[in-house]
Amino acid sequence: MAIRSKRIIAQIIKELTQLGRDRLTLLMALGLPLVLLLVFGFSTSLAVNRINIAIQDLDSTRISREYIATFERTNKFKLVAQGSTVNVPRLLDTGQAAAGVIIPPEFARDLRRPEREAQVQVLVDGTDANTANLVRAYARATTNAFTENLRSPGSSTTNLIAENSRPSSATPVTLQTRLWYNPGLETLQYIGPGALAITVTLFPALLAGLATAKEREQNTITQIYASSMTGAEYLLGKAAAFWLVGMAEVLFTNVESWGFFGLWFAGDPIPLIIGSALYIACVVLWGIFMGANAATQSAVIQFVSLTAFLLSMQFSGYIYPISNIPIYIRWISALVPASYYILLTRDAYVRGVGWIGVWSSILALAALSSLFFFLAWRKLRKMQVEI
Amino acid sequence: MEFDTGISRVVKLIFLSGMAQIAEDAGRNMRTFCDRILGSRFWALFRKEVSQILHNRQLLIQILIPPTLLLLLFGSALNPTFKDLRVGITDYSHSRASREFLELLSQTSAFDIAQYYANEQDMTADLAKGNLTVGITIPSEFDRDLARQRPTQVQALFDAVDANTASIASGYLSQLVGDYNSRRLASNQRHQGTGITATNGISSTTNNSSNPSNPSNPISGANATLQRNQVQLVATILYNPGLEGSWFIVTGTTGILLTTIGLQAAASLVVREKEAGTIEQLLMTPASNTEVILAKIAPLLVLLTFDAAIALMVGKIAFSLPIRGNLLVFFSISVLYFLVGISIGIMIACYVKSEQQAQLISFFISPPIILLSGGSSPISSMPTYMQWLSYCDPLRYYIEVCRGVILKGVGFAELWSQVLILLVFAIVLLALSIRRFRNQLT
Repeated sequence: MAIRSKRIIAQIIKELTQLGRDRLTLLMALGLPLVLLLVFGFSTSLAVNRINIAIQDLDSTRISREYIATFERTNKFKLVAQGSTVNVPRLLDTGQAAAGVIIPPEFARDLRRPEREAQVQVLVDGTDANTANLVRAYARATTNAFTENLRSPGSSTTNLIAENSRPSSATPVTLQTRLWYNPGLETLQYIGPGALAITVTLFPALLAGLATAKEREQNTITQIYASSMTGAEYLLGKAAAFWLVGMAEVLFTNVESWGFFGLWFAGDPIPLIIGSALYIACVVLWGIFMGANAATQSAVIQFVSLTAFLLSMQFSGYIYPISNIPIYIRWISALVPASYYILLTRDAYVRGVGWIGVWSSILALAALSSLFFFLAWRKLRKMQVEI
Repeated sequence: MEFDTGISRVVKLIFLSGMAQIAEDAGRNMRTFCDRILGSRFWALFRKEVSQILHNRQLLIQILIPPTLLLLLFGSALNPTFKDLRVGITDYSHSRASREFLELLSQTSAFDIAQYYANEQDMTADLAKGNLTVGITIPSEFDRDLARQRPTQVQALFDAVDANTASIASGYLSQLVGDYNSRRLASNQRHQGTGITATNGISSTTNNSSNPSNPSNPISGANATLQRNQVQLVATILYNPGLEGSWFIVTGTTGILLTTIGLQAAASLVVREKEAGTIEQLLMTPASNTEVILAKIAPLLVLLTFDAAIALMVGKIAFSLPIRGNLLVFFSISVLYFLVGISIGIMIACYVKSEQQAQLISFFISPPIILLSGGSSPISSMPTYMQWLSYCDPLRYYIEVCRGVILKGVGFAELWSQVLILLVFAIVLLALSIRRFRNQLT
């Protein structure tokens, strides 16, 4: 199988000219990823802040108001209703509040009495399990903060229950928490690189697939078969053209994420550059493979949107960690190139460990791109034989 | 409140009387009614559309496969509850107290002790490589400090590249340590003979058992004995006591799928007429534009309702989704929402020339609708301006309805505002799309 570079270059020029003529598609290919990146980056987040909370205060004493104020002081809750007539279950039913606190009438009295403890009821909307878990944890933490505050001698609220105050015993274990790489827990730091990986997945695959299917639909592919061009040359030429478009997209989106998300390389950018080249090759080759398999251009759009886009989004650990996926379908993640590429972008922009952390991902991307090359090449050769 | 119930009563009354009216009419004029329907232009067009859809294999597959396949895939793959986060431990203390402390981690399914390290450097190296989510270091003076009742410090390092996981993990861990502390304080006080009496211990245990811990809940915190001057928090999880993550995903995905399917199917049906050139013929028939469009919409509404039923069944069988509300309410609001999706599809079709373009455009319209709807990630965690934008997203209201009816078991009385907004969306978009459809040839 001889590969003649002159023909490949001619093929690349032909593809790019064709693409350049179709202004609308070109605009979509280069402009829309920029829009999508912003939508993805800013709208996906699981960090739970400012939860709507309703508090029914049946006690209405200084202590209960202090307790409510503790909720207000955290940035985790947003008080939507408070007072003694608040109908907490109804607010939860209508979805106006995600959590409700009911302070019983004897709250302050019980708190003062040595032999009792005050009870507070929290109702949490469990429809979103993740948020519900966090809300419950925050409510506990807020309540703990309130009681600590009561016990600590210097605080203003201590005198409220002064008649019973005991010398506070020290907290046995204090937890010293350090958040590495992303101390402010900026979600954008996490979602941004992921969004970057997802947005550059769709369009190179789509364009390459459409171009391949178009040749078949319009039957210009028979001209290729009639020429002396080999399957590998044809494939390399086509892939290289869309690879260039894809790399341009990578460049633009990276510049954009620097501007909008404030992402900048945390370490050596070379692994990311090499990884991007391999990843775009993966995506383009996959698109050509899909295009060769589909009968029509609209079928290509469906195939690509399902495989390159939905699978990349859901199985790459973009939103939820891969470890959350049940074992019996987790192998799908191993075949999705995006799951390796996301590791690369996250390392390049947030962790900054460099080669020792990511060499395996780069190897995996190289392996997947060779696999996709082989699949596309075999399919193209078979098509040639069929005709 | 009274205002709400008043409205709901009126809505119910209108609805019931409307139904009664229809039933009465239908009963009285059954024959003439049927004749009129069957002989009408609408019926002829409707039959044409149905047979066209049935002949279009690609469209049928597109309509029927995703709800089953994708719902199953997403429902089981997307899981927002965090389990088995990998924890590395460097225990310099090597004591009974430290082992007891570490027992905490095995009480929950959220953490999984991956490895013990002899020194901190090895652990941090693994953390850097991304093999660990949390690294815990216990100092050598841990048990001595505890025995002398002096405060001691435990260090926890989190890999915060994934900010979500890190914040959730740190929340869990501090909750566990808090529970450990209150247990410890309580037992200290018991030893000293101050405070807690036996009855107190019992009362709090019963309180704990009234709030049963369950397996899917990663933090079933067992904070045993409580002490004086303490507020006891009785947390009750409504609607989803087992905290099934899949319920959130499945209800959201149902809304997302029905939107994209309706939008794409409507666009492709209209654009096909355009591509084949039969649209001029349709517009030349004595049928009005409204009739043409309604006949196009009606079979899609039937198919989408069928889709919604499939989705509910898949949810029920595969994820034991509780269907708490009234199905009639669910389906009637669903039909209302399908009109919104279909109208958007028709509008797209009016602006493009080929099916390919229609699908490309729907690619750019669908992601914002999906992402802003709160179907896959909670709206409350979006930035404020995104939350404002989400008010313009019709899917947001439909997903609220899905979750409200299916998970919360509420009805029109609680959902009237969402229904009203969807109604406005449906009327405006439908009117626009009919207008656009009429104008596209001139």
